[in-house]
Amino acid sequence: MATADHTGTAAGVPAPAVQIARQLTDALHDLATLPVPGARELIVIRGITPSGTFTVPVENVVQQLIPLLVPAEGPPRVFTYADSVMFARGGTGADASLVPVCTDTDVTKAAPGVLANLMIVEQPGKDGVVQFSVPAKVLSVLLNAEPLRQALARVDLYARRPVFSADFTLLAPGYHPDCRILVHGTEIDPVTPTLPAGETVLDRLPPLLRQLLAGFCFKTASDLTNFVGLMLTGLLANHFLDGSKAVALLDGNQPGVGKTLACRVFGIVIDGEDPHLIDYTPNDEELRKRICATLRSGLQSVLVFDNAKQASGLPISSAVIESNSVARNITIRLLGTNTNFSRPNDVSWCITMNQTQVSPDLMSRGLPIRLAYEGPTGSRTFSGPEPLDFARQNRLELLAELAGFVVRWTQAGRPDGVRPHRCHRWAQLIGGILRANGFPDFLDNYEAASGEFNSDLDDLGVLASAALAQPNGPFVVTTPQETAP
Amino acid sequence: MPKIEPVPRAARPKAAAAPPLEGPSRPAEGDEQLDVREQTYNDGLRGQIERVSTAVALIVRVRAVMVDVDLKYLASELYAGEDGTAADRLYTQTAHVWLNRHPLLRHAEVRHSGTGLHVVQHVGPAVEFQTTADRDRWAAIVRAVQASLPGDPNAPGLNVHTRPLGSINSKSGLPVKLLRKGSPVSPKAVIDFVEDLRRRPFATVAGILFGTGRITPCPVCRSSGSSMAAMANEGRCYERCGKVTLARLYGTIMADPTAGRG
Repeated sequence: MATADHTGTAAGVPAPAVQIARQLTDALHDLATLPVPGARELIVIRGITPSGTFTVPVENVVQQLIPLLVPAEGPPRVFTYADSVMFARGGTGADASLVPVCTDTDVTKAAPGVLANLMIVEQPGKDGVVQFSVPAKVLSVLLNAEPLRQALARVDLYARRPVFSADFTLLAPGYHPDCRILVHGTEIDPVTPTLPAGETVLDRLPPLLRQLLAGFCFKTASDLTNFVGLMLTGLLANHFLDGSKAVALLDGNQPGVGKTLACRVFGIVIDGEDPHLIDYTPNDEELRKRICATLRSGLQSVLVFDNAKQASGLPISSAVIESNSVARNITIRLLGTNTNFSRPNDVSWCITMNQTQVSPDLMSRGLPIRLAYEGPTGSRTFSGPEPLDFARQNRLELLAELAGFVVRWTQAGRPDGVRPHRCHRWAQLIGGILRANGFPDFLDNYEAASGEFNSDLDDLGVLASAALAQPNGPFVVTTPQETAP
Repeated sequence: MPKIEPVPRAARPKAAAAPPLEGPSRPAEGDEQLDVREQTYNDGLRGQIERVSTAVALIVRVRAVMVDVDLKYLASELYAGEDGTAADRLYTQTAHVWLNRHPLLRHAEVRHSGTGLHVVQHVGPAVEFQTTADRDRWAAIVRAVQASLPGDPNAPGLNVHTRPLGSINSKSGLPVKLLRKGSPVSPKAVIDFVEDLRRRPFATVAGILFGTGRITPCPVCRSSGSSMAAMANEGRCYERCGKVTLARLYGTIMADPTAGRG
């Protein structure tokens, strides 16, 4: 960056002439090396060579970095999240995102470049000061240094939407150190007016949710209520980090009834991103890779296993889904490495299927949402707005309406839901919110859906049918006694 | 060198205490006008040097770039003759030509400081510093502009002061007077000028001091029939000098005030 020295002294040149020429050269050199308007003030680290050698004690560099990466004032930009070190790119708005710079103990390929947004190394060179990004070799030492790792701000939950804290305070975008939640997105203002009265569930929904869901052919009112419950589960994902939330089971009576579309709409509203769909496969190893690849982007908290089916007609049963959906942390080994990908289980798990059965274990944790349409689905059109576009265009308002459910529930004294479920706390909370808002039929379809989805109950049904097909038994017909009203 | 008659120390009026600095002060009358200085930065305060002088770190605004052209650093041929003061002659014989040659410097105000010239290029609107980096950048810009003319190499940069018109220079006993009215230039015009200096330092300075891309005769060797081509970063004399540096170019018009001292 140094400019050429044009002063060039010679014998007989008056000293002031040399001085003034040097002043010009120095000033122009300074201008070439000073930050231009708009240039960012980066953290400058010293004591490192481009080849990654420390020319000062390593610990000095670590201690030099700690106050810079963990600023006393202003939001931090480097966090630990699960087992990774992440860099927050682009402020806290809707365009912001978390980029992994160190997964478990391995520095990512992008780390030197990404962290150059924050810090660079400076070293005296032959032609002046040279600057370069922190070499990966050095980052590996620094980002795995225990004092630094422990000092970094920790994120327990990362969300791309405003979230409710443990005491149901709506957290705006930014880092919230007290609850270790990092929110990227746009602030919302919960919509809290009293919900409209109406006979049907749809009529009682707030206006935008009503428009969004009007075209979906939910089988019963309870199925629609359960879908709203699913959206509330996504909004309140941080309240179920211990894994105690249901897996959404979206079943259609035939292909093309809108199960996948409903999941995509759900993903767009919750994350602002059209979720990457995971093709279901009974091969757990392959499914594990697909889950990992989907979650590593960091943008998606809605996992959609699309069109789950078993070729042999066996029930859907996946150890990967069943174990990870209830785990506190989702931990999956990275392909071709000895390191794990890990993140908190703030994920909404959804499986779409067509009249398919699931294992009893999955059913017991299931949130059944059934869609049904009679006739050819190809000719079916949505009466309202196109759901994906509508969700994208009205995402913040839809989130505000969902947040309004939580606010009204709080105003009503936070009553619990009454419907039992294996995910007891989840059912109490989501059921309570829906009940307080005038939707008492949450999970009312559970028994009926269990009969349809649960392979064990189905086997029992086959047995009962076979027995009943024998006119002479083996069974005894009894007439139930009337009970007094 | 011109002979500047110094005011005998005993005869010098005693500097009065400067008025309190509550906003820009007016030029004081009578004795209060002695050696008053005017900030080219911040609020443009006027007063005694110890009252208006400000550390560079406290400067938040630049209002003008000033080049202090001190005769002691210049070759006497630039202000030959006996008419008026040496500074008057420097302006009429040389400095106004330098300034007229450049579209930016043409707007500069010139003050007879009592001993030399103050070339004051007003900047309008004043440049407000938002960050330390802004100030550092403008400090370098000011130094570059100052060095585009053969000014005092020891003059301050960003925190330089001029003398207000009508004030008295105690060194000469002369009042500061206006030789040339100036007009403000935009900050962008100043930046563009410095960018030109960055791209073509030698050619830009040579253009101001000598006017053309090819200077005849070569100002360094002055040989008959010689000429010097002013290229971007250096000059080239094809007669005797060969490569001509910026220092040698300045050396043709500057003098060393300490030369010849025992």
